[in-house]
Amino acid sequence: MTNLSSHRFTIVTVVLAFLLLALMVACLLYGSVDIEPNVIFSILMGNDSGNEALNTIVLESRVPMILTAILAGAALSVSGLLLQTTFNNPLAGPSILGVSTGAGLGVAIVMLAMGGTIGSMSGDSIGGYLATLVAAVIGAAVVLVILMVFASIVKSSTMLLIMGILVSYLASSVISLLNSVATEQGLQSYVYWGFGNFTGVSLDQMPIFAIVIVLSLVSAMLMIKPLNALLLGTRYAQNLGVNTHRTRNLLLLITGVLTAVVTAFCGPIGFLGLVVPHIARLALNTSDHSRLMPVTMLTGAVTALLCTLISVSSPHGIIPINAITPIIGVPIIIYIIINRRKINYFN
Amino acid sequence: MAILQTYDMAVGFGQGSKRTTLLKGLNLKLEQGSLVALLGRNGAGKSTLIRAITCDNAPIEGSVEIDGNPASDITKHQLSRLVALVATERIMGGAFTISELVALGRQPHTGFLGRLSKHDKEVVSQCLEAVGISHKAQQHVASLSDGERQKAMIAKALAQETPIIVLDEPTAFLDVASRIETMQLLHKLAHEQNKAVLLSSHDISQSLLLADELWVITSDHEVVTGTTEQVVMSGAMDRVFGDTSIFFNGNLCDYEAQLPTVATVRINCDDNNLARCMTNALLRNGIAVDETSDIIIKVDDVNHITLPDGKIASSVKEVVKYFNK
Repeated sequence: MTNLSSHRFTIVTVVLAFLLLALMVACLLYGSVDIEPNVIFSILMGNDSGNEALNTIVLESRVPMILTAILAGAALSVSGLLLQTTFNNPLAGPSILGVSTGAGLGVAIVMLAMGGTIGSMSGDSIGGYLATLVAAVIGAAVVLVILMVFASIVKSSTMLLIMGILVSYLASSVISLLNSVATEQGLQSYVYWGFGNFTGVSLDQMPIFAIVIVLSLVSAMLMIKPLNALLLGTRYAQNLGVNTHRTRNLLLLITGVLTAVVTAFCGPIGFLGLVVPHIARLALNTSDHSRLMPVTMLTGAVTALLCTLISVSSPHGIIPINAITPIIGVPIIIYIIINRRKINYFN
Repeated sequence: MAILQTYDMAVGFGQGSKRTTLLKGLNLKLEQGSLVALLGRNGAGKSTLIRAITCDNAPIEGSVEIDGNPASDITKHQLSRLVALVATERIMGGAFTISELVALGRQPHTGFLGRLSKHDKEVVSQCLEAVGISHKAQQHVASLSDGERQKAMIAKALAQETPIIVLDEPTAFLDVASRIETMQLLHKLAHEQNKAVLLSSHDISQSLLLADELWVITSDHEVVTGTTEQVVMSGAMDRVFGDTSIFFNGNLCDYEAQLPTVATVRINCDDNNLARCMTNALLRNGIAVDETSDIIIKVDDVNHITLPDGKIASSVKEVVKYFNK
């Protein structure tokens, strides 16, 4: 790393850290209920405000929501980065390749086929949401295996994207079929889940959510060396001593777990995984994963918090996250597609 | 002693009943300090042979031995310190700097996290120096020309510090200047750094000029090996294309088309360059040139050609018209 690029990395990291803090504070302060900042601060410090409702809103709604957004944002973004490198395809992402939909299908099967109560992530039974979680991981894994097999047969990256979209359609259609036989309660919780939201993880569920994501992110960080080698293509990577077969499988496993956990708890959230790695690359102007990975995590957390802030800013209730991510994501993707000949990492 | 040796090796593709053997009975030797060019027509099995040598694919029969050990006993990690590869594939890391790209060549030597030691960084800068792109070390790969990109990939291969470097058509996408430069660079590296360099190529004239040894795949699936002089004198070059309309011209060190001719003439000309130009011009118009012919045309200039009957032709077209009469 040269002085210039390490300088750039430092600046980007500091700016992102500052944004992250500012957005955390903003998400604490703003919400559908107006609470005085000093009251929020004192509740956070462990003092009882004397108002049970305010305590609950701050500690059991806003704090978990902020943590969820940070973790989910980082998770989806890293998932996108890993997919883009693994499939050698800059337009890959968990939602566009159908990994999220696959996880969603798993969730739908548990939520709809088994009735509303057992699958509902907000339910009290640990067994219920664990079943959903496992179903989501299996759904994501099935899609990833299909994609991997297809990628080994057809080398074209455009065809892979189309394959992902087709798998998505197929999973969506199965979900629709399930909808038609579901109970009303199941359908309702499923539809709500489908909007995407960062309010679905309760404080009780937070440890599992956080531990799985943090462990997966750490595993991703440990793959930086082979990830960089994979950018040169399979043949070069093998020649550098990378066991490409095992590495790809591990990367897809990490991707699958990250996407599945977030999807199970927060719904199928689009665009973050696709867009955030590009923001990180554009900001750093590098292909080097040792810098891309941490900045992708930070950018993902910041973007998810920004979406959260927008989602709670409406006086008429919460705006679904999936109504916001395309507005942020689509212009960036269009910018990248139009300018791809000028962008270093594409050439 | 040869750093790499094959024993009765057969290579091909496919599996089971669909298996096709391209080349067999190969007993090849790769020595350090020499540049070997692998030549052959498309589909002859150059890439397949290269993949067997780099242990990407196991041979159908026989074995490969590198540094005295059979390939089957060598781990992927050990292999990455023995054979470095330069392939034709375009890479995705356009936003790596050249120095970062070359540093990837240190991966076989770095630890789990890939952190570069002081020694690693020194090796990287030496390799950049050796291929002559130190001045571009901090530029991004995407900003390089094809020739510079290939130099960077060669520097990456050098950074692996392997005794063997294998290049699969390293000059395929390069212009003439970069092709010559790349071949000279490889020749220099083989000799100065005592590397065994094997490259496959379609660039016959540069290979014949700079390779110490040739491995020529003939159209009847034989691999003729030896020093460049030996192979050329053995006539193996004539057997590369099993096709009579193309022949190997030893003077030009390249292949030429065998065209039907209406006449054979002798050119009387003082300027060698002019004579060669005229020979080509006449040949492509169906007039062969031979020193022993009795029909003489005198060339003073491309616009002033004395025909056998003493008339002056002002262009090759008129010469052709004369002989076609």
